[in-house]
Amino acid sequence: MIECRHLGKRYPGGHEALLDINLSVARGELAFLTGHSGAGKSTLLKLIALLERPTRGSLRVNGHEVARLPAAAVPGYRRHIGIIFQDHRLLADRNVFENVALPLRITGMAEPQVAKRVRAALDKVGLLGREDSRPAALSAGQQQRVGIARAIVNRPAILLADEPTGNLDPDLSREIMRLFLDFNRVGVTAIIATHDHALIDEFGHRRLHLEGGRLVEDRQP
Amino acid sequence: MSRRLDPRPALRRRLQLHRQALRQALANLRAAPLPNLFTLLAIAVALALPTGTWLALHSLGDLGGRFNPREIDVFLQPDRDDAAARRLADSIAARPDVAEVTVIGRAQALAEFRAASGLGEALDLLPDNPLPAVLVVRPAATVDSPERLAALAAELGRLAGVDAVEGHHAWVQKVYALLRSLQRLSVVVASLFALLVALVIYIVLRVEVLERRQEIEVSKLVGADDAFVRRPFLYNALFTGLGGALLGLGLVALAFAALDGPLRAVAALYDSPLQLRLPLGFALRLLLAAGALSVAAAWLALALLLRRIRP
Repeated sequence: MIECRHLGKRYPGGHEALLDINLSVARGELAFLTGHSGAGKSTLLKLIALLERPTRGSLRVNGHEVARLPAAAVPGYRRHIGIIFQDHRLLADRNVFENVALPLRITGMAEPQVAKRVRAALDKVGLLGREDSRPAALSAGQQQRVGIARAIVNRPAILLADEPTGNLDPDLSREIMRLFLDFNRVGVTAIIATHDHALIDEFGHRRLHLEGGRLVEDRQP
Repeated sequence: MSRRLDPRPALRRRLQLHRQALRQALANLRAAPLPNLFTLLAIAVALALPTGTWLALHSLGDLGGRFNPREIDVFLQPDRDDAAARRLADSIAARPDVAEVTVIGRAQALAEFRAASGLGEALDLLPDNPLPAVLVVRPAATVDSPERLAALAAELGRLAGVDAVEGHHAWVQKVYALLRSLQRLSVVVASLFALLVALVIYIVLRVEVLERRQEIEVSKLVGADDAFVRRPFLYNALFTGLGGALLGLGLVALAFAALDGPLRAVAALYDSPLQLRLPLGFALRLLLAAGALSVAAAWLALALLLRRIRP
């Protein structure tokens, strides 16, 4: 599903964020991406989501080389990937429904279908009934669940999560992680970057450890 | 045999995207009514000034045409009697560039002068009628410019027996030249104001794009292309341009209504029905131009602004 060969990223100014990454994540697999701050976890996720372009190597997703995908094709590619951030990136001036509906409206989906899909996504994350709430009225855990609902509403093949439990207490973190496991069980490929070793140990799954931009450990559960 | 795809779902999606953008644009306008009103006013004033000036000059141009300045008075030498005047009138009337010639005999000229001047008793003291016969020449329709009118007058002045020629063409020519210069100036000013409208749209969009930066970033993050991001801004610009033009036309109409009375009074002195007009066709063209200009300015501005925003 995701295949990196000698993948590297050098930022303007010379900083080497990723060096010679070789890894493969199979369809329907869930992998944790670990490492200290600056190890390259976020950069790797950004490369897979094409938020950044690799400067070296090959990145194949679903059999297609995407590293040099034309700029006009990137939005379409991104619609097949669900992205979750530590800071949720929710729109403060829109309610929960509008936030979750955004990826569907981008595709020009008809409103009745949008409403059906949004409610289904909110149901999955346990927020059905909170459609009209503004993000500011929700707890941190609920906001993260809105972010997850937005990421999965388009039924993506790949979920990328960058420190999704970073601001949450252990109970909420476990709750969020169980959501990822649920999506993974229905075939969604997921890569989750996290610092939380206890959580990784508790859920056990493949662990990819980065240090100084290099993949230093690839441990199967 | 190649399989033809049904274009209807794609068309429906496109229409749905436009409906969304339209709703979003209206919501954005409603969200900040006062700043949007000021923008509309700025555009209205920028459009009303050159539009009003151009239309007023156009109406004055019409007024110039109504003064009947095309008649040429041909004064014969004092020794030419009325019979000679009629012969000359016949030869002038035969010209293809002359429509009509009216003869004012010497006696008629004196009678008219006596009635108009109130110098009856003084004129009685004169031993002879001092006034010459006059031919009033009305040029043909082919003499349709002040330059051709001046050329005809010059030719008539060179005819045997003609003492002097007097027409209104000289001052009409000056007035026309002045009006033409002012009309051209108003076109230049209109171009500058059009640039001003484009700048207003750019500044407004820049502020809006900065205010909605997070929304744009998130939209791109979840797969929005530039067209999706651009669409509500373009609708906004269209509404702003059309609204500003409508308001501008309203200002012009108000100004014309206020000036109409005094100008009619002035025109009445010249026996001319001057009217400041705001033709419907012109108003529609202005609306169309303002809308197109705003959308084009917005498109260019967004091409510059959105390039800098990455998710």
